[in-house]
Amino acid sequence: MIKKGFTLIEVLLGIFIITILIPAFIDVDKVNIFMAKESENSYKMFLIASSICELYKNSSYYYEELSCQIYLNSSNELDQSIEMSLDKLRDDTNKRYKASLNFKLQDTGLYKLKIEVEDLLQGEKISLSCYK
Amino acid sequence: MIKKGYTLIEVMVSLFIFFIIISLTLEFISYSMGLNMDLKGRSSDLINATIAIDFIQDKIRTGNIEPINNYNKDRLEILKTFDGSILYLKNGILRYSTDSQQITPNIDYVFVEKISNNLFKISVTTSMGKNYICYVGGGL
Repeated sequence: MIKKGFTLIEVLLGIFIITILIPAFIDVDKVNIFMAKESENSYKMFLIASSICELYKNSSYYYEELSCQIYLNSSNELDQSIEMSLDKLRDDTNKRYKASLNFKLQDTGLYKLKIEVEDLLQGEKISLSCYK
Repeated sequence: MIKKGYTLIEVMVSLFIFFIIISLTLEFISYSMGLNMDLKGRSSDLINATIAIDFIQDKIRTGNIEPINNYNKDRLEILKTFDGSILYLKNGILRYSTDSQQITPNIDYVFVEKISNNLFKISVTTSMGKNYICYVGGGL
């Protein structure tokens, strides 16, 4: 007998392979969405760090040696001065971002602030330094 | 007997399998297109916000600016730079000086607040409803 066409096993195998490939493609899209969300998140973290830098550069306070942490959900929660922000955002740890601030007297008249912002949900970190 | 062609049952079974595969494929394509549209929207939204914030930061750092934050006719005037040019929002597009100088589209609201003599707070809301806030110090 000359066999033409596919057997049931071959057809089922083909369908099985297709059903495995479709979720693989969907996963690629999900990874892209995740990366887009992550870049938005990184930008928000950068805005928090740069805002803290700007607040410190525009304050009349000079910290020679100080390390502290503040907790916040967005840069909107920062107060209008660095002193008030440090005071207000120190205690409530139930926030998305943790900013670790490290003030240091770098040289005569040169003060350094190193900020490390950590996303407590995703574990992502960025750091930024500024001088005044 | 030499068998030619397919039986009705074979044709119906193959059609059934074919339609299942087609419907799965169409569903996957529409799902994938939806995800891609979402991805495209998210990316361009973030880029537009970044451009708007960068532009305003640049204006604040490179010259004396005066916040306005007032609606004037059909536009929201945001700030006035030292040379008298106005940064404004019209039809969801951030514009500078004239209508043709378009900075970035899909911006819903911008607010620039003077916190102290040399410190400003910028708030940008995009058309997707995302709000980005940052502080920036003046250069002069």
